[in-house]
Amino acid sequence: MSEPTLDNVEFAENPDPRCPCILLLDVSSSMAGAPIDALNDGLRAFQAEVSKDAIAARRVEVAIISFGTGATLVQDFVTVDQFTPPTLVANGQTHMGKGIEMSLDLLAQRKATYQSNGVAYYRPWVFLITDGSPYGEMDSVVDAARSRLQTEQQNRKVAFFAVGTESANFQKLSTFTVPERPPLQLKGVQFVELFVWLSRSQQAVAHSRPGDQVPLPPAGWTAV
Amino acid sequence: MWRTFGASVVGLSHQASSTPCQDAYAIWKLSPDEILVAVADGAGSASQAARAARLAVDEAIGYCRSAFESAVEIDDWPAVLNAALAAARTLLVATAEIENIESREFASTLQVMIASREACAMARVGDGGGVMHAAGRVSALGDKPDNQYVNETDFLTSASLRSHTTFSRIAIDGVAIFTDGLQPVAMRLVDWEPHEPFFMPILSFARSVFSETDGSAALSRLLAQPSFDSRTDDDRTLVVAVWTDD
Repeated sequence: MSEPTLDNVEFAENPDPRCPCILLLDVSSSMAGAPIDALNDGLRAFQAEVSKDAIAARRVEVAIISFGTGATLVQDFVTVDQFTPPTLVANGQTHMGKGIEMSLDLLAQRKATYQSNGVAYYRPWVFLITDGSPYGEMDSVVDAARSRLQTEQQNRKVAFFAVGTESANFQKLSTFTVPERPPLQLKGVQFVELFVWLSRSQQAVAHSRPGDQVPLPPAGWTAV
Repeated sequence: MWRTFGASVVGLSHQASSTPCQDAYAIWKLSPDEILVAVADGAGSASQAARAARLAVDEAIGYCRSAFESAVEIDDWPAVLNAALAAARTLLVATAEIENIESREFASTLQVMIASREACAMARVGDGGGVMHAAGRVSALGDKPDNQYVNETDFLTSASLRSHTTFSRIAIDGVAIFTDGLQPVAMRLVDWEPHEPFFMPILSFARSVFSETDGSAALSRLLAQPSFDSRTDDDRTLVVAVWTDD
């Protein structure tokens, strides 16, 4: 009689769990020149860094929404291993309210897609970068966006991060964030350093298990 | 009688940080006809995760053994299992208090199951799952864990005890319980259907291997295979029980 074996055990095929990350980027005209160039370099750095981790490159899904006058879906959700960084151009006002609403709508659609396809996911991130503050929209539009964003954070639907350059209005920005994640200031235009940090943070999330605190590695790009 | 096997293997992410396995399991044969199984998964960053998982399974089994010293109606099995979950929670919280540590450092999931030839019941806090083998096919024991995010789930030490209970009055030939590290390879995640090509060979093997010790060792070698690592870097635990007429 032959020895019983476990050689025939086969694995189920399941989609990779996803780590959705929306980059919500200010492309208003004040970003023209060095800032937008550095931001574009940052996007390339993000793609390159995450790609070094094969598991994260399959799990981290990035989408890009830019806001100047109006908001534009520059990149719909795509896994980093399929992501080609776009080149953003600076122009227009700072319709941050519209950008936030578009981000939250995009997230809701994405979660519905995950759920109907049995795709597991990590808590989504929205990562806002701005060099100013909301400008050019009616107050009611900005207020509605702020209120919706606050509610979604409090209900743990999204992890929202805000980064401003030196010229950003941090008092206004902090009305969008929650106390445990206040807005951070970028040193100069060190977008590459910022995006390398973001990629490491996303990699950590993509590998995390229940109960893991995700200790985001120390951020060297912040101004004190 | 029931033949039982179990294995826990530490995942790559814990190997990398030299963290011990944070899963634990315990099996107890109440009689030739009735078995108890407990499986726990300590929370990733909880400093006492490995201890919490061990304390939880041992307390749950201990509680059930005491409960079953008097006759327990099959219909009362779910209540006993839920009381076992509560007992495990109480122990973890009390241990944390005595040691002056935050109770979240003892965070752990827990599954407790009892099976006989007439019925099978399971109560669970957190993720992980089970399957049962009856009438030639494998079906899920309990619903898919309902955590919205992959990296968040309920624990025994969470603010309130959220448990899920399942109870089937059917004659089962086999049962398997596993922690979440095996979910992506053992189950079809979209509808929580067991992947038969994963479980059938394991159940056949369990039925034909002579020694429980050798069988558990073989399960352990299976779970340690590098092929698992590309799908999950978590700790993984599998307990299997099969009924044989010998």
